[in-house]
Amino acid sequence: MSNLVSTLRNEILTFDADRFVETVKKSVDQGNDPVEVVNALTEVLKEVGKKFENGEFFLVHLVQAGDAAKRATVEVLEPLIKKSSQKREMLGKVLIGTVAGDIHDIGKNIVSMMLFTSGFEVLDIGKDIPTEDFVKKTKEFNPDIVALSALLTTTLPVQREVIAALKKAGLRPKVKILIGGAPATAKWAEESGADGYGEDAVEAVRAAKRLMGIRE
Amino acid sequence: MDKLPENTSALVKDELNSIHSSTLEILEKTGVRVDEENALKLLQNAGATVDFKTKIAKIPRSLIEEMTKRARKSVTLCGRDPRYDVPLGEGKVHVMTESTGINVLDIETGTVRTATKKDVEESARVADALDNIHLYSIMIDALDYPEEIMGLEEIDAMFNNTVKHIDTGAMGADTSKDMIRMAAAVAGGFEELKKRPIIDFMQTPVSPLIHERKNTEGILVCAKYEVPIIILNMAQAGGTAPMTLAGTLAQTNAEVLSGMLIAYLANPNVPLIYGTTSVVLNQKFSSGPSIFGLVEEALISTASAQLAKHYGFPCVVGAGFAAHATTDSREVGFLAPMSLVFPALVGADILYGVGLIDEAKTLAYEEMILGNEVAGMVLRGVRGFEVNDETLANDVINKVGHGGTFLHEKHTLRNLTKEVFIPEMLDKPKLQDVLRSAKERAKHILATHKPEPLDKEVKEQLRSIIKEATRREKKS
Repeated sequence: MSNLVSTLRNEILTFDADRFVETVKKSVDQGNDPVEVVNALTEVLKEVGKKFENGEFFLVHLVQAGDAAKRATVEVLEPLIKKSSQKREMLGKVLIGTVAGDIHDIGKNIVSMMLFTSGFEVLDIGKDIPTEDFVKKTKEFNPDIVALSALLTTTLPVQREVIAALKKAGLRPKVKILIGGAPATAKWAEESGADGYGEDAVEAVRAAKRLMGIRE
Repeated sequence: MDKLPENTSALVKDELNSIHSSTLEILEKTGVRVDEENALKLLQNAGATVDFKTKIAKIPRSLIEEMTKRARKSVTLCGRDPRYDVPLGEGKVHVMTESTGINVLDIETGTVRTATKKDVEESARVADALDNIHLYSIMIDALDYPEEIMGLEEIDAMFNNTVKHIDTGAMGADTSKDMIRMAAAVAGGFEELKKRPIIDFMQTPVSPLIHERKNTEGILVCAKYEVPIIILNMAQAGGTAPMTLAGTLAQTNAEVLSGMLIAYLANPNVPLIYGTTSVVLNQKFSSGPSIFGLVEEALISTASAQLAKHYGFPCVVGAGFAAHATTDSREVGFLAPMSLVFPALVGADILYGVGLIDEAKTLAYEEMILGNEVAGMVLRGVRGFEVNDETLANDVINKVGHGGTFLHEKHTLRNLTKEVFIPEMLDKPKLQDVLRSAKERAKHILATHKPEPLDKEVKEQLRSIIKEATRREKKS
């Protein structure tokens, strides 16, 4: 396992996604258990996240390491795991999107990536998402957490509308709600009826873990 | 006419041309997405290749070239009081407040809280009293009002509290029209408003390469009423624009020019202003999405001002002032001159950004006072100094001779305030606690400064437009 971790670490730090996917493929071909590879990958990503938090890595490193990991997971590991009917240990399922009327998504994408690299299963449904689509996708995907993003002061109130719509559809007790975006505040989280708030991407992941009852 | 700008630059002629060509190629090849059907139709009728499904318009270079040649570029941003008129494009540098923060560092309690309409009123009143702030941009949103009428309440607050020119944003067709009706009520009718635009609207593309629907609706309404429009981009190099500054400029130039084109096609008479507050994305882990007020922003602003001049447009450029200071690290606000000096040196018409801290999220009254002071020094700097018989002071030098003093000379008395900017806050006793001194100054202004009020009738008209809008929004 530790050997695997160190190989993946070295490879991911080349920031070459194509090469990384090949490495992961090779690793499975050589007989490594896909679930073990996923776990090793999660370990490596945690290290990358830590390096970002302590200022050793920049955002672009975090994002590109995440891109490579995501491709390897989706293209190589997940299909194999599904076939083998094994189960991958995830921290929880998060549905994430930017609310209606807002087409800004760089912040949401960063949070989405950080959640993924921290070990959450993430369904990112994009930007300017109509409120009813949040409801529909919540029914389909059955997430533990619904994460709502907004950049504009004018779209911030839409977060509350989504929360109300989830309530009306009877889904509110089944999910925790996390809000974020530049104009969002802890006070707004409380007023809007959300369960958690992250001032930045790192805080968002911490809040998500808290909502899942996971201790760091 | 300011003197220093004639002698400096960030981009040489060939580089300006390279950025221009790259912009034209982006618009022709990749085009812009425009989420508003009427604007797409205007572009198509003018010769752009429009795909109504993807909403992408590919714009031939001839269209941009025609627009940059023929668009209306000369405009005076008028004050409610003509003494505060700001004529653009005449080589003078001016200063505008920062816009749309969401919090206020409360002047009484010193704590950060959500902004309200009262804060719009008070900040407008403070700006009204400060000599080196020439234009008031809506500094914070009136978040105690619902989204639908927030913009209208803000206009009410601004016109009632400053006689200087005001700048805000127009979102959506109905709201934009109501905003312009309010301005017309103050100006004395739509025709008067055209002649003396006491308001302008800042419209922002979403980088990369999108003109969002409500924003574009705003552009079309402003164009119809010939109210000046600032197309101002807010890209983040490395995030929503390329990492390299030249690439960021080529892309943001494409965003601004295509936004201007939409306005121009809707009405060639609408005055257009080139704007930027693009910054570099903060790649380090921190709570802010971007770093304002750093030296790269200064370079982007400087080069953008040069691009605007290259086309002949007046411009508004980001100058971070104290935006990178936080409530806990206010002293950093003194970095402000860094992002002001560079664009001022190429003669940017408007330096934009006084008064907000926390990455432009929080209004700080002290920062308005200090920003006013810093602006005064920079404006003094770009004005330069004259060289003539009086200023060469030959007679006086000969008269005083060896070892004398100039304190007794009329020449000294006559020239002191002409030649020297006298700082108000940067004097020793105040510097011992400059934030407290600035706060006291702001409090004094709030207690004593009363701008010329609006006529009672005009005030009522403003209220009735808001009432109508409230009723309409409730119905829909």
